[in-house]
Amino acid sequence: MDDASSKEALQALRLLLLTVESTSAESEQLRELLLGQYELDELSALRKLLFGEQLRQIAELQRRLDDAKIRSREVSRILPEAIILRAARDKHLVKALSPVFEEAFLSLLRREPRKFAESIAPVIGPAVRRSIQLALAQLLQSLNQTLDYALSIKGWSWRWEAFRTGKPFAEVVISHTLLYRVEQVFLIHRKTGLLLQHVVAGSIQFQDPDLVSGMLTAIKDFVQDSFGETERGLETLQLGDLAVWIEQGPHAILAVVIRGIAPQSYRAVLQDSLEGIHVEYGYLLDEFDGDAAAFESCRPQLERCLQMQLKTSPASTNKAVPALLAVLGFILVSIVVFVVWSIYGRYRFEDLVRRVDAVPGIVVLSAERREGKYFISGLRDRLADEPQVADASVVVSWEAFQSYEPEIVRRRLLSMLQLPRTVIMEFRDGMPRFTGWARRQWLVRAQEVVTAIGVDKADFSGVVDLDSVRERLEARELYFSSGTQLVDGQRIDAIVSDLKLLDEAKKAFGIRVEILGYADRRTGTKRVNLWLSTARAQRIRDMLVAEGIDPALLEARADKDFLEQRKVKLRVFLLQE
Amino acid sequence: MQKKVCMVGGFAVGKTSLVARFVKSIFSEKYLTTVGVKIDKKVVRVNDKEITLILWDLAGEDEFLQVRMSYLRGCAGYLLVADGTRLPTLEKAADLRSRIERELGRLPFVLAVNKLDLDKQWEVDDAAIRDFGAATWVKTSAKTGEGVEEAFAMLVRQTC
Repeated sequence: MDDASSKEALQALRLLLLTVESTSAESEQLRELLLGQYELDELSALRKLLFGEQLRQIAELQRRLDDAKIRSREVSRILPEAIILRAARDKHLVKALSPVFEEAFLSLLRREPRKFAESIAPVIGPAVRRSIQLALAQLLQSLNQTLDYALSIKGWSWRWEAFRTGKPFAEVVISHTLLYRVEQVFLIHRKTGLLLQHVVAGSIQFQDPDLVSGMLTAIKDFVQDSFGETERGLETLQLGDLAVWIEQGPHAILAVVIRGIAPQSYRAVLQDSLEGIHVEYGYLLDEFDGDAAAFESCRPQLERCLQMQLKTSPASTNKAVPALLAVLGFILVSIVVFVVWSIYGRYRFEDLVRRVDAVPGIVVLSAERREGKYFISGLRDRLADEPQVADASVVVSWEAFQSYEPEIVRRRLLSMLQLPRTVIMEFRDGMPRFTGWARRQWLVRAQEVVTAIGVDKADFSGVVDLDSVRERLEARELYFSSGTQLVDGQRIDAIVSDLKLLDEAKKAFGIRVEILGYADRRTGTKRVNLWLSTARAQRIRDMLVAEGIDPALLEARADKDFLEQRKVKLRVFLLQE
Repeated sequence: MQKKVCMVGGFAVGKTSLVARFVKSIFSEKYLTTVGVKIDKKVVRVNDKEITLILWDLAGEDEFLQVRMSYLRGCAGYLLVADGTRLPTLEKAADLRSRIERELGRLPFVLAVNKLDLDKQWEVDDAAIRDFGAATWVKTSAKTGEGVEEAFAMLVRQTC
């Protein structure tokens, strides 16, 4: 560079420095050094001449920048538009402003609770009603589903599956009805693999989340190292109907365990949550030193990721009605069965009471139902039949008594009288009547027994007293005038009549009748008298046989003790009874 | 408070046995041969502070398998394990240490020379251990448990 050129350049530099409003100490010293040979007034005039308009604009800008009121007015003009533009672009503005609004809202609530209540009063009523409607609808839906699962063939097949596989019924239902359910959410520190937060849906079983988050990080690193994909990294792990979706942020990883098939739109939920966490906890994530306590407050964000969707069943609402009807029908049928069974039970009991009461020798005094059991109590004669009560729910209890019912009296008489085979007892008009043949001794005892057991009347007139018959027969004598000629007027009708009574009982009692003939020993020889006695006895026997008496019953012979009378006597032998 | 701690060393030096002495595992050891790492957890108390150690047991390195450095990312410290009965494992430990420092920077570590129960067969003497240059070292036996708790305690103290 030549000398002239150097001077021109120096001059230009001086002019430039004159126009610059420098504040640094070094620049000021340099300016003063360069301008030393010029008068200040001249320079100022020159500067105004050259840069007057620009200097005015710079001063105006300086004033606007320094004045806070002006700046505020200017920002207020562009702020709404700026908010609209940023809100349309992403959600960072919302996330950034949320804590401020939350704090402001809570502050207002604490300060002016009445105003707040008045403000929201118009909307709170409809909101509550809507909420109740929704809750009732959900309850009804849940009830319908429960009924559907409990009563349908499908429900029973699931129960069988649960029984067969040993799984809880609820798990089987979920496996059939679930479209997807997010069971666990892990928030993992990306650099260390340490667990920051973990939330679980319901009461599912899970492994130690610290270890699972570590292994997930290791597997993610392993896949990234092995396949060299560093941009997006591992996004999904699939194991049967379980999937692990991984969403990676700059400092944290969100891993969710999903049962079933989640829609791709769910990934946006994860991205949104992870973005929110990064916005809110960015500094903490960056400076994480192992203390995860600060991330406790992000649980609500993670819990929002615990989504679930059931398979839509178009017929479910229609099925609900038959299911409900089935339940109502079941209840109705149960009621009818219960009522019918109760009536039938009552009828059976009353019938049983009637039958028991009809048993001779039993008197039912009370029959009632208490605490689900039937009780019968009353009086029972020891000779009464044991009532047939097979029902275990019927309890019977008896007090002993003596019955005068004809059947029991008959049984008592039978047991006490030792009735001979030749005597028949029957009741007519409530009175025991005896017929047949008996010895006097039995007759006497029988009458005593009848009296002793309290029977008012008993008819023994039908019983032939064999001893009386014998006495009557043995008391009769038939006289002869001479030879075998009977004395006039001698009749055998009474003897025939008594012998006919004996004739019927002869087998039972081994009856035998001897006809003894006599002769007058004062006349005739002994031989003649013997012949005559025999002939007289034989003559009477023939007459009796002719009257219809069994010849086997009669035996005719002469009594060797001839006496002084021409007669025939009877002797009756009762061999048995 | 959680700390990620890694177990690093050559093949068959006893890293997994040391962890097994220290905790009760829930994962199978097959992860070591498949993924190359097995993770366990142990809660310890240091200076009245409860610290949850997440132990990353890395598969031992040999001529066929290299330790994945990505597994060490973010760890608070590591237990560098060598087998006292095999001198080359100490050399392998030195190699691993230098690679870790090259890739991840200086991290707290404790040198654990294992298999103290086989002291008669030891090839590694104290001089060799001192020459290693570890700030902290300890002789351990996974078999008897000697020095195991101490090794982990020393590591935790270094990381806090």
